[in-house]
Amino acid sequence: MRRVLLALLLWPRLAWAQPEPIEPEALDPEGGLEALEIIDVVVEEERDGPAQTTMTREEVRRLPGALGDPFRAIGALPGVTPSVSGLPYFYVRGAPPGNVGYVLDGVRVPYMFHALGGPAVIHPRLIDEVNLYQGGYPAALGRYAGGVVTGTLAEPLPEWRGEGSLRLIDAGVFVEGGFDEGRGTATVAGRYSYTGAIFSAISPDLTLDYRDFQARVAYDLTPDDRISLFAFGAYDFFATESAGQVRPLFATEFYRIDTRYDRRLLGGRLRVAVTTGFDHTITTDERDARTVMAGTRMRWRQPVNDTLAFDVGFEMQRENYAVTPSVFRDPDDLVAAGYDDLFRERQDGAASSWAGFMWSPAPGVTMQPGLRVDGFLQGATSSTAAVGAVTVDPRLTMAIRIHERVRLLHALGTAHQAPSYLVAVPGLVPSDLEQGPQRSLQSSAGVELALPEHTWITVNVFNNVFLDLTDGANSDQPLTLPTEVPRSLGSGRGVEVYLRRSLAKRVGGFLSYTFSRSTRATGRRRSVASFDRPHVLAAALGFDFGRGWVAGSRFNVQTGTPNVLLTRFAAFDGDGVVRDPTFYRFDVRFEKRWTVAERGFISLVLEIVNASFNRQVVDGELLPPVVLPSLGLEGGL
Amino acid sequence: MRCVVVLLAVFGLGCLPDDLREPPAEVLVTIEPSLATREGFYTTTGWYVGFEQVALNIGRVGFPDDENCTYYSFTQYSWLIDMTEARREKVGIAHALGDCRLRFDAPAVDPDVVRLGVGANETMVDLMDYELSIAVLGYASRGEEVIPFGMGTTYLSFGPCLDGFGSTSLATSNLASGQAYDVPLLFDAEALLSTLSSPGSSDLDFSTADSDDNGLVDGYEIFQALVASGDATLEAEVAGYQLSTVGNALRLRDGGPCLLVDPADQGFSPF
Repeated sequence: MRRVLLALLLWPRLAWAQPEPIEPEALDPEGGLEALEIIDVVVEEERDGPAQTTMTREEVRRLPGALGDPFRAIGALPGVTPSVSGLPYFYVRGAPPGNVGYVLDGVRVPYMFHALGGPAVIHPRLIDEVNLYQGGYPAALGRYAGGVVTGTLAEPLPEWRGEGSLRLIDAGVFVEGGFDEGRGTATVAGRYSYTGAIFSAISPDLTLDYRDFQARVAYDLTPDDRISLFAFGAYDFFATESAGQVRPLFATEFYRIDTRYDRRLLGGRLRVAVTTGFDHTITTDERDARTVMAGTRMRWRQPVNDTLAFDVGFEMQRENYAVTPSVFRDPDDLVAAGYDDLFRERQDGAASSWAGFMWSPAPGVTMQPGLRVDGFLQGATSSTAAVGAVTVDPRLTMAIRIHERVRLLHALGTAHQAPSYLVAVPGLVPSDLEQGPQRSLQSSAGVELALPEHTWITVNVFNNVFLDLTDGANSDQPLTLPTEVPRSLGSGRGVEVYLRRSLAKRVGGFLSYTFSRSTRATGRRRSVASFDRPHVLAAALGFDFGRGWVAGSRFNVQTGTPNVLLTRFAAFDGDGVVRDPTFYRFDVRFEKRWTVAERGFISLVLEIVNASFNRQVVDGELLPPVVLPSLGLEGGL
Repeated sequence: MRCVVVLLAVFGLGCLPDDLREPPAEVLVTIEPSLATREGFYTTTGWYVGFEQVALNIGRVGFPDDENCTYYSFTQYSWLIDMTEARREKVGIAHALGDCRLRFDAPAVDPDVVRLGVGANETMVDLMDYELSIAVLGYASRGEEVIPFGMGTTYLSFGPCLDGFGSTSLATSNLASGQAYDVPLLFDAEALLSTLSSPGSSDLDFSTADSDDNGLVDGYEIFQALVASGDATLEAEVAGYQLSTVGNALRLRDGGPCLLVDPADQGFSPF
């Protein structure tokens, strides 16, 4: 209902279902124009715009293999290619994980998942929904060359309530309530992993510890003005011990504080926010990288008339990098020196502004043109001069209803991103702006057909081109570490099929299939990308048996990636490309929920990722079966 | 929670633990050529074999992590050295603690991570670019007859090295905190043209042409085979017998050979 309220608030006449207008009580302040497409609870699934795919919290909860994690759930969506099954590092339409951004309520999240394929760093109870923008997204999103995943925080409610979970690997808590007669709300959530004790029992030489927290306080100064503070952070320490010494393998932490002022303005919404943050990573060679950041942003979404709305805003960010090089090293080592240069101390900055519109020139036709301008600054060091770049990204998405059950979907746009690592690591941001930012041209065209029984099928054809990509995992690259950031020309082309019926219904499920080809070219070398998987299919089915019994299963199958060792210098046309075997797995989920009192519940959840215990082959090596069992008890009041 | 509170109050403080490890031992690996590498040698059949260039790309020094050894650092670069001109040259410095077994590589030359050592130049880099780790140019002469030859190998990994009694030496029984260790290697180009006698292996059935008493068989017959093929600058394929001969070419200066290992089994690779 909340999404209906939000949508109806804004643009009742822009949407195809001609809904009734309602009050803008719970407008998502960071939802963007795309949210304007939400119009009717009956056609809830239709809210997906031309460039986005949405999953609600309840859908995620029931999705087998997602472990109740909204951000992990995107791995099942079309256009998403897993790097390794079970690990939440995704390629999106050919873009590597480092080019896929995660944005939570307007705040960029440095890394989204805990170590070793752990859960997301945000408690799922805080999330209302997640949106995957595979490409050609609204102008408000930017500085990522690949896809963008946005998470929307659930609206805080003044009624006191709480939830807790106890799983094999961690415990979580969520508490929320109001004060001052409901004008203010406070939310606290977090998770703590006790896998360290489990690991110690199984393998005494391994240490794994992770935790995260989120806290939010909001206060309505007037019915139209709200101030709020949202703080969140995460900590991961994965280390090995040998000969009595502990060496970190993945040691990182980050913290963010977002202070906001929201105002309902002329039927629209204005948000001004200031974000401060701290990132910290210790690498295996004891390089200690710290980043202190501060930024501000403004966003104003405003209806003009019945057929036109705009979304304008800007953001600025400053980041101070401080790096302590490893102490123990060979002073002649060019690679170590290369890393010193790559991750050198400096002050970087970025400034962005955008203007987007939602225009309905005719009934059934919705266009979202937009323009985004980004400025990138890489600060000077003792040996290098400051470098800057200004980029302009036009965007256009369009939905045309040609029949009451058929929509045509189009998305086109460019995007730019500062040099990035293969996987985002807090505090470790490569300095290579001298060669310019990464660029991408993203395009897709498709058709959406509404079937009976609240079932939809969407077929999209996409074609992404990536220029100056800092993808360090090209299959044709030498196995040495890059002392310079190798730039490559990349592409991702394919077809996506998404057949779905909400898992939140009594019988729900989806079939997601992506047929794609991802390539990289560096200099004269051209090859398939290291994580190219031509076929990726996920099919899930959930059934609500009644009386609190819910069961679901998911089947995943994916073509093997190129064997890097054997395909290193393979030709692009497929000759010589040796792939690892196709991998498949079954995930299962069972839940029994008991209602307690008026609105309380207790759930017993058993979920197993890779219940089939299948083993994946990576570069010819048969890995042990990656099985993630989760037995948990959840409860709420 | 205390940590979070402190952090929120004073940005810049993290919760990750400090490095509380003991200072490691520092291990310096060096290499020097044998006398035959620098000055050539005579075979028992009267040939003089001389080396005009023995380009060796060597580096990537480290210690695989195991329960008795913890490494602090390994190197990822290499030195390209002409061993005919070398004296005692640096291969790399690595840090570790405990009972550790040395590993190092003779990788194909990667221009991005190679340093030019004694006698090396950009021409060598271009010739060996991503292809060769050892490139040898030489000649054999007897009387008026002079026959040039050339050979090369690609990626090789070594370690551990054996001491004079055939057991693992380096090594380096118990690397102690704060201590410095030297590991001198010896490169013997003569062994590139020789092989250990290996009964039952036809590939190694070369008749003797032993020039000295080091137990190795000088490679006159290999040399003859190269010449007989009609191409005196053959680039030898990496095959078992050549790996063996290369393995013989690298050893501890005062000890035994360094064992050849699978490059993928490096153990200290960050990948």
